Amino acid sequence: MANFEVFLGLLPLLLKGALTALEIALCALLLASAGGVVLAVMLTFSRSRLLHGVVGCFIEWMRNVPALAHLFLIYFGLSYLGINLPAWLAAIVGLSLVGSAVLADIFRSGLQSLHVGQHEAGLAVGLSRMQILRCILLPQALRVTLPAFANYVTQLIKDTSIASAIAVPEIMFLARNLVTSTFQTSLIYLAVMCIYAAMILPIGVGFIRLERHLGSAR
Amino acid sequence: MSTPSEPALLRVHDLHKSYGDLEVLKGINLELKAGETLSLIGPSGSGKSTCLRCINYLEKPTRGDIWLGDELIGQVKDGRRIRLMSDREMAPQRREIAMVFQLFYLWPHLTVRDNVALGPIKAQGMPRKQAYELADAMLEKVHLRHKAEVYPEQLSGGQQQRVAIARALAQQPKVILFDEPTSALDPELVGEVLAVIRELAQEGRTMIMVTHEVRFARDVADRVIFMDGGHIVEQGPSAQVIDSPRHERTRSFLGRMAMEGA
Amino acid sequence: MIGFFQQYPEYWSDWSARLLLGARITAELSLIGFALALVLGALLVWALRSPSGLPRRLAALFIQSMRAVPLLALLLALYFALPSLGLTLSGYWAGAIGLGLQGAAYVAEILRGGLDSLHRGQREAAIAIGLTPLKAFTAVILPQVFRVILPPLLNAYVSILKDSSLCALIATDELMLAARAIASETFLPMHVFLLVGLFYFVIAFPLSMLSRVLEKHVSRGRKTVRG
Repeated sequence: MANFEVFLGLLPLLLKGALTALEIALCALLLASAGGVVLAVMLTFSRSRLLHGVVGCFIEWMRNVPALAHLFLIYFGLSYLGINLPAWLAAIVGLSLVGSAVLADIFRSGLQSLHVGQHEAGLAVGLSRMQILRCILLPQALRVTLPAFANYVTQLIKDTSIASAIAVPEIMFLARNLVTSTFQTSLIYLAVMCIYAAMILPIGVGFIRLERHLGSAR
Repeated sequence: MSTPSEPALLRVHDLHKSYGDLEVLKGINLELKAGETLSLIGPSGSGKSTCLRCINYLEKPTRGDIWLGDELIGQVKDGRRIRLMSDREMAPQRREIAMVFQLFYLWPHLTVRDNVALGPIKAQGMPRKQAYELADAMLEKVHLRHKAEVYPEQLSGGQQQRVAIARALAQQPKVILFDEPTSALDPELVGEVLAVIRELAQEGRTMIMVTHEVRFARDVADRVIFMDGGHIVEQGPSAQVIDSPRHERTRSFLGRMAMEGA
Repeated sequence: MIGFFQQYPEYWSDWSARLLLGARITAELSLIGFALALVLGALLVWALRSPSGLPRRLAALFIQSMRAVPLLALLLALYFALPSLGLTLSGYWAGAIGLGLQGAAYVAEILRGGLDSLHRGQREAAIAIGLTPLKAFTAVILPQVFRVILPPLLNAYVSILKDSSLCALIATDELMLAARAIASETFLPMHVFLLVGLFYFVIAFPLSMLSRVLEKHVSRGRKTVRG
């Protein structure tokens, strides 16, 4: 039966799990963003068919296979090959790889939406390719793709729950264990959902504010 | 104005450009002396814009050489061959040749001042303060100093094009190329841009203009070249070519333009 | 390297039955979940466009909640928490319903985007020539909206298909659970999970590609007026 006192005692532990989830999400976000930018730039500017093929295969594999499968492959599969990653690292690597594929698509379409004239004007003024990318193309691409990026970030935080399948001590894993030991099932899962909502909703609002701020600066 | 005995600043030699099977430029030869203003006129599809864009290698010529002073543009000796330069290698050369585009291509996420100063800061390594002073001076030249903090989308087409001219001037280039600078503007905004270009010509800038404004070309350019079908049909002092053209094709083109009130 | 792949012919006869059964359950789960999502999503959009405030607010609240919560949490709650409230669902049905509920929020957004993309004047023109609202909807609005929403709906299905793998964690006998079981029995995780990944890929990839092709097709023909 629902015992409120017991439940309150569990709350700190759940919150600690939420913190772990955020840490994992942050690491994966940074790696995925870096990876996504690199892949997007490669796809937009390279004329090598081989490169397009290889990167394309990577992206399609990452996006058409479930994240859970990727995590299992990295955690269990690699250990078969002798590489034993700790669970939290496997989770970060898995989520980063999937994330870089998702963001590569998003950033690429952002880059390609920019008029080629901006690139030409940069060349005419004597800027190098790198400078054009850094000062002209990427800032605008990031601005244009902000909504899609915001979606990715919130989805990423939710996807950290998948790491519970390989026993990473984030909030979902802890919740399951607590349920089996204390039987406060409804309360615990309700709390878990509220905690996720508390993490995600402010982030959503934050991105909307950011969009508005960037929009008004123009 | 330049004296006839001075060597040419810009030389285009046997310029050819093909897109697959379509040959757009069929052997263009032209020379530009320091301080001269040259105007390229001709019907759509004559290749005049392509010719201009080959000069700063935004289009890669299929054959031919472009010389700025003693320097060969866009190509470099590699052992015994001559090969095309990469964009990075070409950057210093491109700084000497500025371009003003038909659609302005200002960078929407930067203020007017940042648009003008970006080139000096990044491409020439100028310190920020000095670049901003240069930018403000150039904006003053085009009478837009008071709009320095504004974003491009808040400006009219004529104002944006003038900012683009300021951006080109900030490069302190040897030659300025104008690719139909007023073709995308509403009629009432054309005048302010032409006024700025006229001032630059009077200062003695070396410029090439591709334009439909034939009367303006006659008034401001020293020489006019009429192109058609990828060839130079006629060239000479602007008053002579436009008032008394020698070739039939030139005459019929100018006749058409006169009827349209250009 | 070759040795790696040699394992497959040896084990295929053992694995194939279980994996194919799991794949069938996965297909069922994803299709039932998608169907639920479509129906519930359409209802949500209808509620969102309702003139009175209560249906609108409830629908918006539902969509917001579904988007703020991980699917796994929803599945675990449906499977483990509901029994204490009197309703016991099997892993299969908890999975299908969970997929359907979250999918509905996703589908509602797609449908809403599709309807918004249509110019308001279309509906007004249809009513002006005397069509009833229902006829206006089915004869004029729906056919046009259909072309726009098909690509994202395909993507939504692929999403649900991938998400069905999470049902393994609530003891549903679908493909991922079968893979997990085989992996722990045979100590060949790399082989099994790669193979299973390929299963998902073979279904999801053509659908993703189709969605992309349709999207290009749709955006090309968008501005023309159909007679």
